[in-house]
Amino acid sequence: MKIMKKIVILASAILFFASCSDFLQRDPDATLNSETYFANETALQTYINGFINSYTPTSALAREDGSDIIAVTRTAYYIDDWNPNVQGGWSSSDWNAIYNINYFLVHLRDVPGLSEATYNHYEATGRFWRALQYWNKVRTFGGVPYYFAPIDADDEEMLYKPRDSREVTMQYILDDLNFACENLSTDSKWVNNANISRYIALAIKSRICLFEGTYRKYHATNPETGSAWTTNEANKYLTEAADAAQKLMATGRYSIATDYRGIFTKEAPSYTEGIWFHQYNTAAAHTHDLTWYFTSGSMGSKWSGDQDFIQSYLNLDGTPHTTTEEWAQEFQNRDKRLAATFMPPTYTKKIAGASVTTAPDFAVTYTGYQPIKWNIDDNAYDNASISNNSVPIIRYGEVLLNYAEAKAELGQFTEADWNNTIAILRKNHGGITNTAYPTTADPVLAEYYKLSDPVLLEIRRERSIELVFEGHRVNDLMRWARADLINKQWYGLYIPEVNKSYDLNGDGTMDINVYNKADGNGGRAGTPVLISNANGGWTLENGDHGRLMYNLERKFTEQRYLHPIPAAAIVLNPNLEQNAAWK
Amino acid sequence: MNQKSLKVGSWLKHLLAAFLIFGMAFTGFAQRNTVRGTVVDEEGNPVVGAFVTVQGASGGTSTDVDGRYQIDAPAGSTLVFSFIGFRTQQVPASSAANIVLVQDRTSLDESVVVAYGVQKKRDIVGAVENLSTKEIESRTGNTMNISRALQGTIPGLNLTFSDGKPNRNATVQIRGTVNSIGSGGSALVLIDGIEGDMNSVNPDDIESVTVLKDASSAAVYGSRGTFGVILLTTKSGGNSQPKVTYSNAFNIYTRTVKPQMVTNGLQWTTSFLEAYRARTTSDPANINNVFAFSRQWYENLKQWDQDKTTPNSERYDVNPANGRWRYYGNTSWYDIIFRDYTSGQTHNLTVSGGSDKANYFISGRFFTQNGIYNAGDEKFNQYNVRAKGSLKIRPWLRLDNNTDFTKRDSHQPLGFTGYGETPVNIFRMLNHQGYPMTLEKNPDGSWTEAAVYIGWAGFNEGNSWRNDNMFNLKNLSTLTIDLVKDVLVARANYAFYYENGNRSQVVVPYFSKNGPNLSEAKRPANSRYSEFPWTRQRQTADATLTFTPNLGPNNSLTVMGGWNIEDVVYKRNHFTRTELLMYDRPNWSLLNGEDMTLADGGSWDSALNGFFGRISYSYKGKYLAEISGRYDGNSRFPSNQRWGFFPSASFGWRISEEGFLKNAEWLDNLKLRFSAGTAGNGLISNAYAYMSTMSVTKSSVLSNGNTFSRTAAPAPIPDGLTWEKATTYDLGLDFEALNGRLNFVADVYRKATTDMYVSGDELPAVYGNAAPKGNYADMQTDGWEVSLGWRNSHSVGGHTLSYSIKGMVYDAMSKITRYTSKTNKLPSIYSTNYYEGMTIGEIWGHRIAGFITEADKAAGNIVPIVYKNSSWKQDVGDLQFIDLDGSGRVDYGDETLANHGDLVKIGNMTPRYNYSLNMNVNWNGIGLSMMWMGVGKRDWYPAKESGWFWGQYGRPYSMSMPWHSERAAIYDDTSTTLLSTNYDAYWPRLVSYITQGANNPYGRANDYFLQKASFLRLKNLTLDYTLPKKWVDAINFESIKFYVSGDNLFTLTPLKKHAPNYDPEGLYPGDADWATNNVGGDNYGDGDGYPVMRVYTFGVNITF
Repeated sequence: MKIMKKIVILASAILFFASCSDFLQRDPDATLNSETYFANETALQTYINGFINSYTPTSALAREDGSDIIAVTRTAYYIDDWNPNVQGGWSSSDWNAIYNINYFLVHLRDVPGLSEATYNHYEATGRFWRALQYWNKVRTFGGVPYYFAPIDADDEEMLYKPRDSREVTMQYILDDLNFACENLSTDSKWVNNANISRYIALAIKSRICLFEGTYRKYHATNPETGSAWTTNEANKYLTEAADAAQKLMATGRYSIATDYRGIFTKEAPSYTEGIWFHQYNTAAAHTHDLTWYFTSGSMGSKWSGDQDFIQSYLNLDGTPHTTTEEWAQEFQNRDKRLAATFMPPTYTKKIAGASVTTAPDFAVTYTGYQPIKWNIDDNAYDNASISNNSVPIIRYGEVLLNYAEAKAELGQFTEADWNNTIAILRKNHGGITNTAYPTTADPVLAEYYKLSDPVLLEIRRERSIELVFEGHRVNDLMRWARADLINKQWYGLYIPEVNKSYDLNGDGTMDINVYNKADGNGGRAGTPVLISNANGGWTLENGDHGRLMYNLERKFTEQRYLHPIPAAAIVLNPNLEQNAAWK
Repeated sequence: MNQKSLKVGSWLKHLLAAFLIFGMAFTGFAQRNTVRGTVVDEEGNPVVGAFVTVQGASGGTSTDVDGRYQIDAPAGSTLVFSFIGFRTQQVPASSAANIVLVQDRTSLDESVVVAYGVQKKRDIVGAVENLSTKEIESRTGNTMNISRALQGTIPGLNLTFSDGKPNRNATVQIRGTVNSIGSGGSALVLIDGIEGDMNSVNPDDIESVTVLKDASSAAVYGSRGTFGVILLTTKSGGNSQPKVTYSNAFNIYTRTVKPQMVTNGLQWTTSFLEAYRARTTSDPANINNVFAFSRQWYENLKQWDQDKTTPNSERYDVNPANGRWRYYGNTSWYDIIFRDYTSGQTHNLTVSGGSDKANYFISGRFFTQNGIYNAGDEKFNQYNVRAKGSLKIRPWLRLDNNTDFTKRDSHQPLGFTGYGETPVNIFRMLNHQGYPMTLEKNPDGSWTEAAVYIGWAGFNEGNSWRNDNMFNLKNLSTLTIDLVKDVLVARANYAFYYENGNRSQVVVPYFSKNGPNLSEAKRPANSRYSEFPWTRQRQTADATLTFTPNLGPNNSLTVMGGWNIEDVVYKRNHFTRTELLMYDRPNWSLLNGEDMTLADGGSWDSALNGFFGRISYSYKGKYLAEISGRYDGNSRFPSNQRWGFFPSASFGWRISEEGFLKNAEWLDNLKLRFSAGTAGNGLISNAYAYMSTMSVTKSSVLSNGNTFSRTAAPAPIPDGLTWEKATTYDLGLDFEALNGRLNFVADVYRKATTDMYVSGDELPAVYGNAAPKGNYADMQTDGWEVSLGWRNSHSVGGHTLSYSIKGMVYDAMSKITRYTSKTNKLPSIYSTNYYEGMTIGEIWGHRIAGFITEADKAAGNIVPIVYKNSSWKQDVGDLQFIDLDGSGRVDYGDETLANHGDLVKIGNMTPRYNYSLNMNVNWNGIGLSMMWMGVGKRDWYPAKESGWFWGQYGRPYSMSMPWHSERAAIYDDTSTTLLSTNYDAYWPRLVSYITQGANNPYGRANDYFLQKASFLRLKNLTLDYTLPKKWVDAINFESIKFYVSGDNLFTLTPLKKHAPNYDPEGLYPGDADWATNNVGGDNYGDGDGYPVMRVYTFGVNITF
């Protein structure tokens, strides 16, 4: 009896613990199962949103580091050792984008029941991003192993694949771009927002193909192999570039704005000239650091315009500027883009809410040509990463320049083309009155670029002025095979006399005090500018007067047209062949 | 009587005595030919209720209240005197025998709580250590939780705190500081048998702590007990009248190390300039972007420095050029922000009692500790309540219930500089903005930019804060059924744990002014309110059946089998929104911002199911054997790997019971133990590691001003994920002699952790993902533990003087025995890497020959180094590196085992030879105890952001240390002219940023700056006084005790030489709560954590 009772109690206790068979099967509730993810079009949209979020270029593109026309604190790349041991850019996270995009491309058709056009739009989106990713790799390393699908951890053939040649890699990129240009939608849902539309694809295709076309044309040998190109495709890419640009121009969808600086300083993106923006917005707390970097002596690189470059801005009447004069005079009657890019004597900004005339600060600039192109003219933005101006990634102005240059390089450029491209830019952005087709070469530019074609020279002038601080100049020098210009002497403003203070903008305050060591600064007002021979210091072009010369050792060599493949990558995959110059 | 069924509780003793006296009175008259005598103890006090029997005869008698007895005994027979707690004595029967019974002071009959049961210490064959919390009573009153009080009490138990914050949880590790480089590695903590948080249990409720150190003792816990188990057992009610105990402690806290830094503005600026210019060769425009610098200001500062009379608040002028204030202060930001002392209190009230049918234990505790800042109202509170009862429903059926709750609230002021949810660490901000020249407030009363940037303005205004509130409720119901009394016992329990917590946080901008007529600037840009609410529910059920057949005097057997099932559901959310309408009213209805997040904050659930069993057998108490095992199921593995079986076995040989030692009176116990066992580790950190999943998150990029949902490809999942295993071999020796006075325990062990879940062989980067993790690595830990104790008592001045002393030393070292890597990257201060053959904790670095002297420079004897530091060039006063590989320059190759350039192993950061020494003396109600503990050997290389060590050798605008003025070479404030040299100094030439990361000369370890971080610390010193019994009796109290106690009173450490701003127990990257300073991260720096505290406690314990 008692035993029975005990057994009943024990049995009921055990029954209480009874568990169902899948007790140990637990599923996450905050994540999705990848097996069943691709169920509907929303899944595809959410997936491509991931590309937008991770791969849309950021405000960092505005940092003009390591070019000839902008002096900086430290062109890390061109001072430091480049060697395979410290080379980056080849980690698994650098390659994750390819895995991520390819995963999408092989799975997107798992979604049932969409129209072929819809599938193609999504495929085109994925392929557009893949092209952009691979192009970045090609610019850095040359040809790289190309993958059409995600790699399995045990797929030795793919993991240890050798590099595809640059010719092959670029062909795959071109294939992706062509697919994108044909299949991306032009439906308003995809246009003029963060999504990738056909217009963006065409614009980017013109950029990439111009790059490759001129690269092939100006580099006699492939720096990857050290030998001649296996195929002569310069004209093919130039034609593709011109064609893509032309197709976009033909849509008439975009036009050249008349307020040049407004393209770069407004919170709301303007899709008049802008084709693709990285949107920033204060309310949504998505902001960047450009104003801070351009106004700080230590956060940024003290980007400063080189006087030779400043000199290349045309006069308003369309003639080249040839005189040497003091800083404030230089801004008189010049291409309006000069005062929109570099701080002019009339520059005012809000300081603590009040509008104040502001002169270049030699704690921030080396040359006196202090960039303002991206600045919000308010010191509230000077110390924090709170800039809200949306950043155009590609704009119609560049497309016109791409078109002009591709056509000119092909020898097919006409006066009508000029009037449809460069002339419009000069007129709308530069306020230049005489925009006639050039017939004589500017001797200064001809000497600088070692070219004689007057049209090509004017296109290059236009491109450098129009696109400065938009992330193009280094690429341009690379494709023109003129990266040796990186080593050029940087010049600053004209100093008539040493050991003297100068009020640059005429507001009554001495802005700089230029002195040499013997003078000891003489107790004068103004930010001290010491003339000395130190690396990173200043001298004067004519000893005791002349243009300020900012001296910074740089050592670009031919070897640096491509980066080395990192040694660590070759250790893991000995089939990767090192670039010729780095062997 | 069956001695086994008795417990050592004194109440039982008394009960028994009363019973026997009663029995004796009944039988006394029938005796003839009697032997008479008195039984007394060593101090001459009568022993009441001692058994007196005639050997071989049945029956017997016991002593009365005066210790007297009489018994009928035939001549030639032997009388046996025995009593619990005393050594049995045999004497030949004669007419009278006055016996002095000697107290049995051995520990052999102590009951030790073990896995699913209780064992006598004599029968234990595993590596098990236990501690009665009586021994640490005086240390629990000043801490929020028990873990700090447990430090140094048990050999092999490592309790590590990343800093001194009251609510900081300990990392609990048993035997070795790294138990797995894959997953888990921490010990399992069980409170009354149920997994729990050691940090939320009331320390005063804990009766005993048992640590199960080897696989055999922990085997029945299976996959959770892989790396040792800590069993906390709470107090219970006894068979007595209601007893009330109240204790109160008042605590004063002060930091063990008060950091020193230069507070003279001119001195700071001069060394700043030297450091800055040594790197950049030019003058700065600003000091860390905010404080304007010019030579003009610097010249003014020199003038101001002459002025010793102007108060600090008036040391400023206005720059006529821009209307900005220029400051010339000698401000000690440290003293502005931190108070010297803070206080706290604990109150604990316990009521317990019961009868033989039912008993109860009810307790409540309140702990509070105040903040260390001069503003901000920092506070840590904890409330504990426990109600525990036991009811004997039938003679064979018992029901126990144990319910408690913990409520913990903390309020901490916060500083923010950026626009986000991550607060900055104010300790760290002193490194960034705390220069002495700047002032706390402007002449017009507004905040200076420094005050806002450091976070001090926010602390003062009090409306940027974080509240951490947690409430948890635990209920444990246990049913015990004696199926067959003393032979077959069934026990089942069900436990429910519910935790509900919330972190709420407010960020508010503060305004500063830079000049009298300039408008205000604010930082951060916007206000924000966040909440992170969570709940955790855990259900656990256990059922065990214990079979103890009576197999006669020579054999004893216990068979235990059981089942354990567990289910955990954790849910966490994350809400945040910007723009508080009113800064002091953070509420979801009073927010206006567009920037908001509503998201899951890391929810998960998991389940366990296991069957276990243990067979213990002993032959004549001489040969002991135990085998146990568990068949475990864990939801964290794929279905084909979900179940694992893990066995263990152990053997004991009590040599002291062998014939040849049986008569050695002095020897109490000599036991040899050996155990071996394997356990699986199921503590895979991610509950869903084997599943391919995709997360959907909000974008940071905008489309038409809005964010959107996004996802990405799933990370590849590990192939055939299975259990990590830990196999432990333990050889132990227990030795007890001289009636328990001398006690010695030693263990050596080897622990092989195999199939650790780590990243596999590197794959080419084109794979695009981290190489899949898998069970790819093995590690071996070898260690030993020794403890030696001595205790005794004497009569001094008519009172007993008892004392004890116990010392322990333990050590462990782990080596990687299998690791697959093609590159074999070396570990560094900033990244954790492994290679086969590596010892855990290795520090690789350069060797240094001394300083570069003027003679070296003249002779061209400067060894070139690969490190670059901008314009910095090696010069007189810099460290001279040694080119070990003769390559002509000092480099680090590619930082791999095969190519490590001039890097060599220079030390090890693992704390070695942990030791402690406990001493207690008691006399006439006065008690004195002290505990010393320390680490015998440890190396430490300060990471790059360790501002309290590097000062201006790191960031030039960091604090400056007074001792940095003794340098091998001092240059002028343009860093171009060598002013003086002193090659006997410790510090090299002052160059800023020279320690900033592995690409800078001193940012990578070297043997010159490698610090010895060993220490010896007086962890606790307590003096107590218990009022004489007659006094407290007079007021009807049971006992009253007062005590004074001090923690961390005294420290000896070689760190005092070059790193006097560091506490040897505070060498960890900053306060993890502020999400800066993570190991391996860009901000890695040591010593920015909450300070380690010295505590003075004044306490009283009252029982009535």
